[in-house]
Amino acid sequence: MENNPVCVADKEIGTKKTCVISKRNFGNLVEALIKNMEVVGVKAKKGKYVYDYIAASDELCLDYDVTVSPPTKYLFPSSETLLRFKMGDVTKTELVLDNSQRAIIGVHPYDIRAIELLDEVFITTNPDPNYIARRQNSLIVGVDCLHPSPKSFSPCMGTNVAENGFDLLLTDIGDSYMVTIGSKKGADLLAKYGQVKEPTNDDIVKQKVVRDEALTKCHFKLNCPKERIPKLLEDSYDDAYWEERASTCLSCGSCVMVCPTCFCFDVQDDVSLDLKEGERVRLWDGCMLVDFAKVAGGENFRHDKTSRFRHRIYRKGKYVIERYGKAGCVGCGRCATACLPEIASPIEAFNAIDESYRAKQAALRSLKETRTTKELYAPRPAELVRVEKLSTREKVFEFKLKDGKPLGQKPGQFVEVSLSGYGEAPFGVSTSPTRGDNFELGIRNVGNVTNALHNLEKGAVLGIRGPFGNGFPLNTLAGKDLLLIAGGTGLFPVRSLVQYILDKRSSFGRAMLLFGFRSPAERLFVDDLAAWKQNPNVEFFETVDRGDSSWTGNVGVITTLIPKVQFDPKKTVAVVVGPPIMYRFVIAELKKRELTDENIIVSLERRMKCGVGKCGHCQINSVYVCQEGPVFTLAQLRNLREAV
Amino acid sequence: MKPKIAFFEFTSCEGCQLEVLNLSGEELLDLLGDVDIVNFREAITERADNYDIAFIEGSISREAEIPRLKAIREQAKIIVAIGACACIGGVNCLKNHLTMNQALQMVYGDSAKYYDTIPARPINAVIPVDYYIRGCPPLTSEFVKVTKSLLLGKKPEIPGHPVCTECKMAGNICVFELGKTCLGPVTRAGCKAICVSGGRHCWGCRGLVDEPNINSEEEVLKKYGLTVEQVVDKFKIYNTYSEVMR
Ligand SMILES: Cc1cc2nc3c(=O)[nH]c(=O)nc-3n(C[C@H](O)[C@H](O)[C@H](O)COP(=O)(O)OP(=O)(O)OC[C@H]3O[C@@H](n4cnc5c(N)ncnc54)[C@H](O)[C@@H]3O)c2cc1C
Ligand code: SF4
Ligand code: SF4
Ligand code: SF4
Ligand code: SF4
Ligand code: SF4
Ligand code: FES
Repeated sequence: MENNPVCVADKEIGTKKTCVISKRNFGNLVEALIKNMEVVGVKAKKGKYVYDYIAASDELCLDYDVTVSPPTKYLFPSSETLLRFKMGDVTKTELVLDNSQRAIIGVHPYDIRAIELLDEVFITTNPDPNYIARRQNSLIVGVDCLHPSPKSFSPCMGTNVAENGFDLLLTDIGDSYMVTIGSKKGADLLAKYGQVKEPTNDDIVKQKVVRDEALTKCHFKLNCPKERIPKLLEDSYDDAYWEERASTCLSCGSCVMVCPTCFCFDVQDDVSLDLKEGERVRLWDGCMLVDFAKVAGGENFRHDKTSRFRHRIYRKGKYVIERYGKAGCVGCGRCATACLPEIASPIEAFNAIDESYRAKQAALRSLKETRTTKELYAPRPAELVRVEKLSTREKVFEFKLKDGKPLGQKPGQFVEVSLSGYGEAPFGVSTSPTRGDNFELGIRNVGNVTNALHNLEKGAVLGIRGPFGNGFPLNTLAGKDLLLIAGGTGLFPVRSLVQYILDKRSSFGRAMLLFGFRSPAERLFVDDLAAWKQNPNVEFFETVDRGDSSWTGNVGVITTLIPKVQFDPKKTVAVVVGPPIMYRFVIAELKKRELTDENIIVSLERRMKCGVGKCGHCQINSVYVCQEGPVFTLAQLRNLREAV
Repeated sequence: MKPKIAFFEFTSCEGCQLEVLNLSGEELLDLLGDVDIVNFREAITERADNYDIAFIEGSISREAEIPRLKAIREQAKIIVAIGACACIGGVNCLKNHLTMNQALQMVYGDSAKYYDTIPARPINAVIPVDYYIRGCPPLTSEFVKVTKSLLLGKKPEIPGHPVCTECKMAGNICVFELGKTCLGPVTRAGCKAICVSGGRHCWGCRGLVDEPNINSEEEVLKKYGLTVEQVVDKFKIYNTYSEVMR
């Protein structure tokens, strides 16, 4: 029997108050609960700890380190029926709710914090009836974690303490528990079954001592403030760490299945044998599993283990806190224990990324101190050695760099031409590097810089910056059958590729050239066109939108040429360059011929100023066209919402 | 029209068919109400060659089985492989490590010369297979699930993830933590990790997942004390025929 009389009367038990209960009396309280409801709690099993049914209070084991699975399984079970239905009759659909009263005993504060996150997810927006039914009927008795698992790092995440989210919270202070009352339900419970007393000063000191001692048992240190993690991750999406770390990932899903803050699920229908009725069941699912992001048709948005691994860490450190305002990882360390290749621990990922970020910053700082790129904005002098009229609005300009060096361009790259007083403008290089050190630019007169250029004469000296951009992917094109489709001035960059292919003919398969112009008078590089037409090494097709009396060739827009060529979509890559309007129609035509998005390559024209990834004019979403482009596969563009 | 179902058996112990018959009487009756079983050696005597769905058990390990299997493919609209032998070659493939003469000698002794045998292979090494009911023995519940899906005309939802996922869902303590080893991380789920739940570990009877990280699994097994030979032996039991073993 208690020595002291019960000194906390019913009414006096408010929430957030503390009191003390002897361990024996707590046992009695549990026995009373067992008579009234289902009681689950922490038990020892094979040297580990698990949540399981409790038939007698002495089965409980409350000085544990961590359980194999988290207690969240009682609120969001691994498999649960959402509703029952009759086949072919939606009016007969009935919701299935679990309204049984259940006490969950022994929940550590980090798991309470995880439950708070689930509350936010399942209650705050689009309230989830199944979760709410379980939550409302659950009594949560927490217990402070005084013997943390060696893999736990909850103090680093600030989740080793819980202020809310429990009905009662116990701290083991020897023969008794200090009890923090978290809710009216908790208070009522104590009033009904508990024999409690006011805490003495000694009790209060003891609680502080054991809690502080527990803190010293955490082996981990987060190397940056936890508030910095989201930004850190944002800046480290392309860090080499992800691929390296994920290389041993088994995609086994263990890390997400044992995590208290994971809540993704799958929904499946199960019908009875007679196929007359059935259930809709939800089952745990997780982003680490191969099929998680697969959509109908088989496309998988996170098809490789690196992107799945990164996505999970981003959820734990960034997405969840940004979306729900609660920690996405509570530092329980279960994933780290469960992961056989030992790669799943978020804190190790956060620290590694932090370190890599610091190293990158340090490298950047030392670069800044030692080297500036003077030539970044200062153009190289180049002499105009030839100008020739191509058509009504276009001229070709041949340049020679004054320093005597080759330009060093790849087909598809561009240069900035600088004319003091007028400014700069970007132009694709029209000659292949295989054609000597001089280079040519085809330029249409459309405005200030271009007009001034058109007024120049042989011998003038102006500035060149570049070459810039990625150019056509010559490695991808090697060995393939090539379908080059150019409209109007799109021929300027494509001409360089045609020259390159002719000079390295054996490196490529078939070369099918499809060119289109508005009218015969607007044709460009007519001598080249005539020579290619005769060349047995290429298959040449040309059309004009509108013919005239002298024109004997094809008439019609460029898409009308495509049905004229036969090609094998598995071996062929198409390169498409032309005015924006052309892309849509040409791409639609190519898709009909079953070319995949990876095998359709386009060169984009965007407004550009600096050419070196700074000024932002050419930016599409997060991509700078002057750096990562201007050449893209259609597959890359599909992810850029602003691209086409 | 009720779909007509047939069961066929190649080189196997017939354990798979028995498992199907383990349905409770009521369940089986329900099933028979929706389908016509026209060919089922263990259960009925009459036979027909007119069927829509063929369930095939056992691996192919004799020359004469090949034309028979091809004939079934011609007839059936849907072919479902049942059991480890049919799906992945299974334990029958263990003999592939011997020369065929050695194998015959071991099994039949002096009468070996009367038999012919070829390296054992799963049925999809001979004909295209539509669906798989994996496991050794396969589970009644999964058989029922697949059959129901086929009757409803939908694609059966067969997990692509490894056994570990279901093992964790079941709340098991990982056997690696208890000093044992396991092929769960590379084996296709669907069995609800019954072996681990029952106190043992996974042997890999359901075959490998589509993209098994074999290197990593090997490293893990070695970290937990297995030698290279032991690792290979572990994989051999059910997955001799898989690409990783060749
Ligand atoms: C990678 C790349 C390669 C290019 N290659 C060639 C080429 O080989 N030959 C060629 O003749 N042109 C090419 N262009 C387009 C060329 O850059 C513009 O025509 C030029 O910048 C116009 O400059 P401006 O000073 O004469 O015109 P402005 O006086 O600045 O403007 C005149 C008109 O042109 C428009 N304009 C301005 N900049 C661009 C731009 N970057 N793209 C499209 N319209 C623009 C303006 O909106 C305005 O309507 C290329 C553009 C890019 C981004
Ligand atoms: S990510 Fe790992 S450490 Fe964090 S809450 Fe989940 S299981 Fe625990
Ligand atoms: S990180 Fe580890 S636990 Fe998670 S899926 Fe990969 S191997 Fe499995
Ligand atoms: S799968 Fe297993 S039970 Fe079925 S035939 Fe093969 S060995 Fe026998
Ligand atoms: S016991 Fe086997 S199946 Fe279960 S988690 Fe461990 S490795 Fe995976
Ligand atoms: S746990 Fe492994 S061995 Fe056991 S049934 Fe499942 S796949 Fe087969
Ligand atoms: S988070 Fe959107 S479906 Fe799971």
